[in-house]
Amino acid sequence: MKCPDIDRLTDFVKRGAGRDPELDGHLQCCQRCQEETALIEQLFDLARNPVKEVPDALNQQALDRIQVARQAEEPSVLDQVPVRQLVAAGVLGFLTAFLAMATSGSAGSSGPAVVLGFPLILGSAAVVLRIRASHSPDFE
Amino acid sequence: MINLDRFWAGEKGYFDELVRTYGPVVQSVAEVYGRDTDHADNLYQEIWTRLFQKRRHYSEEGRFVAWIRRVAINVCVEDFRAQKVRSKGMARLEALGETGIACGGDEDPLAKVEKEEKRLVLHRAFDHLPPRQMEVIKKRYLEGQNSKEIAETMGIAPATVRSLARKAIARLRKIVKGFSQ
Repeated sequence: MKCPDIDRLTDFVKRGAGRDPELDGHLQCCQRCQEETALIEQLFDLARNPVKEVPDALNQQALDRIQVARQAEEPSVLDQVPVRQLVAAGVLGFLTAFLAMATSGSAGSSGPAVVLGFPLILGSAAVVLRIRASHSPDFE
Repeated sequence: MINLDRFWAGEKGYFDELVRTYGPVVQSVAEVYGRDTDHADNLYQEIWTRLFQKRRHYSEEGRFVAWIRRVAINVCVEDFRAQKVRSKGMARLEALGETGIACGGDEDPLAKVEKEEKRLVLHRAFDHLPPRQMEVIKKRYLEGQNSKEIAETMGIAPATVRSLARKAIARLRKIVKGFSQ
C-alpha cells in the first residue's frame, strides 16, 4: 500500500486503530506515516488542551526578579580596576610615602609606622579582595 | 534555537522573549509542585531567577527545554527542603523520587510536565509554518473542519488543502523532531 493521503490518516487517528486494517498494516512498516500519525494525535491533543499562556503580570514579576539578579551581578568599582594597576598604585604610594618621610627626616618618630602601615594594609586588602573576586565562580 | 551569546550575556530584551516563550513550561512545573496559586507563582519567579543566575551552565549540547525543566525541578526540591512542610508539593516530589522518599500519588508529575512541554513545542512550531499551511492546520485540527469546508472558506481546491496539510505536517514533524534531539 502507498502512503495514504492526509485525510485518511486523520480519520484513522480520529476513529482509533482497528477500523482500517489496511492502514494498520501499513503503519507497522512505514516510519514516516507513524510519525505523522503521532503528530496528528498531538495536534488533536493540543486542540483539547490548549497551551495556557502565563499572565503578563506574573511574567513581569519574574522579569523584575531577574532584573534584581542582574544588578547583583554588576561588578563593583573595585572589580573594574585591573589587579596590576592596583598593585602598582600600592607600591608607588608606599615608595612616595617612604621617600617623603625620609627627606623630611621624621623616619625615627612613631608617626611613620602609622603613615606607612595604614596605606599598605588598605592597599593589600584591596588587592586581596580584587583577586578573590576575580577567582570566584560566576554564579551560584 | 537559543542565541547563546545573548543568553549568556543575560541580555534584558532576550530574557523578556524567553520568559514569554518558555513561561508555560516553567509554569507547568511550578503548578505541579506549588501548594497553592501563591506558592506556584512564587516558585515561578524563583525558577526564572535561578535560570538567569545559572545561564552560563547551559551549553548547546542539551535541549533547552529539558535544561529549564531540570533547573525548575531543582528549585522546587530546594524549596521543599527549606520549608520542611508535608504538603501537596512534597507528595508530588515523592512521586518523582526527588526527595528519596518512597513513591506515591496517583499522577506522574514528570509525565505531566513532559506532556505540557510537547504541547508547547508544537504550539510554538506553528510560528514556523508559512501562513497558508498554518491556516489549514489550525482549521483542520484545532477547529475540526474537514478539507471540503476549509477549501470553501479559503477559496481553494480540496486537493490543495490536503497538499498544504501534508506539507505542514511534514514541516511540523521536522521541527518537533529537531527539537527533541
